Amino acid sequence: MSIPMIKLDHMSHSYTDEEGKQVYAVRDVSLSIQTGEFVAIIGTNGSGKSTLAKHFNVLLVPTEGTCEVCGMRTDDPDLTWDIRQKVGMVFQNPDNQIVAAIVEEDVAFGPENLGVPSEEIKKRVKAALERVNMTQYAHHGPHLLSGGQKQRIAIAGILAMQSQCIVLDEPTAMLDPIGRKEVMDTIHQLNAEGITVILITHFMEEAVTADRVVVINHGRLQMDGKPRDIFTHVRELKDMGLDVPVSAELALRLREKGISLDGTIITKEELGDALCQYS
Amino acid sequence: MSIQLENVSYTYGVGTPFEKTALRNVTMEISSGDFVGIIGHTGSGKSTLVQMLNGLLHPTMGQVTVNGMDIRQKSKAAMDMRHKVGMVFQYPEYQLFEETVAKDIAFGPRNMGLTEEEIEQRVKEAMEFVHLDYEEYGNRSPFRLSGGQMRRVAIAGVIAIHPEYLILDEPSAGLDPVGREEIFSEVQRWHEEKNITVILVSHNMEDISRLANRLIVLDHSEIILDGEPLEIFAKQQDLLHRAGVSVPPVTEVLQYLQGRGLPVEDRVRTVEEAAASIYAGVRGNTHAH
Repeated sequence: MSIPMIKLDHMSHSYTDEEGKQVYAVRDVSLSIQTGEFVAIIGTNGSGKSTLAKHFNVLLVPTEGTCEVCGMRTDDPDLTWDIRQKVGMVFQNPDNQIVAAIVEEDVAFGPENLGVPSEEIKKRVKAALERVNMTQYAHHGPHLLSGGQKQRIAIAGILAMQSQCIVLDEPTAMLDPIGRKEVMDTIHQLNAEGITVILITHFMEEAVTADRVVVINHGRLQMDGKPRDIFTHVRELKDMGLDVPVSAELALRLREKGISLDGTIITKEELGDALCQYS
Repeated sequence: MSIQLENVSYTYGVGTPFEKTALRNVTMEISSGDFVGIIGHTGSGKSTLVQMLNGLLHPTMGQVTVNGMDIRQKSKAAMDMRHKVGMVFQYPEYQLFEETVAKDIAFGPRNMGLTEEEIEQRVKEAMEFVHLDYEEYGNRSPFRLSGGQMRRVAIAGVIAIHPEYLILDEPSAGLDPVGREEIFSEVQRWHEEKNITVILVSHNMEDISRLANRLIVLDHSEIILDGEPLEIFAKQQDLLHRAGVSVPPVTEVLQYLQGRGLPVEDRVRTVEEAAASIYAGVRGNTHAH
């Protein structure tokens, strides 16, 4: 088997709180994410999912256990910049990640810092903007863009660094429905082109579109499987304080009312198929 | 008692090359006791609209009155009236700044010129309202709290000025279902017990359909729809879609099922009601066969 994009081995992250107690934000997580996967990470506020993700591009290093990116250990300071070139991060607030006054300069910021020759930068910026479908905005001021467009610019900045993996921490939380769709379409298209995608989200309608869903609860890895394996556990997820896709919950409630529906329904199409057969 | 907007327009950067009209000729009234949801895509004018309701922005044309008072005036009475309209901005936790939770919440009441006893009273009451224990959290640094707790401190800071009208701009963005429920159950209680008027700006259609009794949809700087939320979600899909907004997830599933020919009612607020609606539809169908 090839080297995984991300490999965590009994990784923990703890800190000492103001009363001197040791608190674990992430505890004993072992996890492998292969190149090309689309993984959604879900969990409540404070579950540790963002802390976990910050290890993937060395914003944090483990206090116990190890985190490897493409076989490189993140606790080796000599490898930090190599790792950050492999894995890029997109955060929740689109306004906090834009650094330049012109879209194409913003996208060029990453490769410039890597010392890429300027002819090569131009090519990369052009290609990156094409891939997120923002070419026509290359000369715009970023402040005039919508939230969804700003997030796509942030993604283009990562592509211009030729990263192979994008970690997105609730990238759609501040966006309107159209912006959310733009961002989701973009990351699905990039994933189809081979980019590894790790998406942290509170929207279960987004998580259900991933290849794989990882559930973090109180810092621990609680569940890990295909969306269908995860989201059919409606009660367990609700008990953890999480939502489930509406169709999965409706199917469960209808079963409880005595309508015999298949236990694997998680999308509206599947619910529609089952109900049409039923009547 | 109401907030009234009469032929209100707002243009940013008048006389510059960046001149942009954010709101065009809006006339409406928000009556005391309403729970109003405002939706629209980014840039549709929502934030401009709500910032005019408490005088953070003054209209380029037209007039905004709160309980009959023109809030553009600089008089003490107009200032006092602006205090009746409390505003919780997006991501209010980033606006906390004091050393302790209690001091942060006291900032508003102190600016209103209340006495120390009155301020302390208001801080305690506001903390109780957002379920933060005064003894335990009052002297803590707000920056040591979780995101959800910080947001509750920020909301308590606005509650402490005793607003008659409470404006919430995306209060649930980034919160999990439990955090959302914590905030909205408090807001709803405040709305019901104290008859406070709530104006909720949100991209979360589920929150709007669950809570609001009136829905205003903005598109391209104008109000395009104003009515009962379930009615709008049921009948105006095309206009909503054109305005760049959507229906709540539960409504979307029900409308999809209708499209497949199932006789289900889509005017529901919750998943529970939706299950009952499908159940009734499917059972009715089975009996008919």
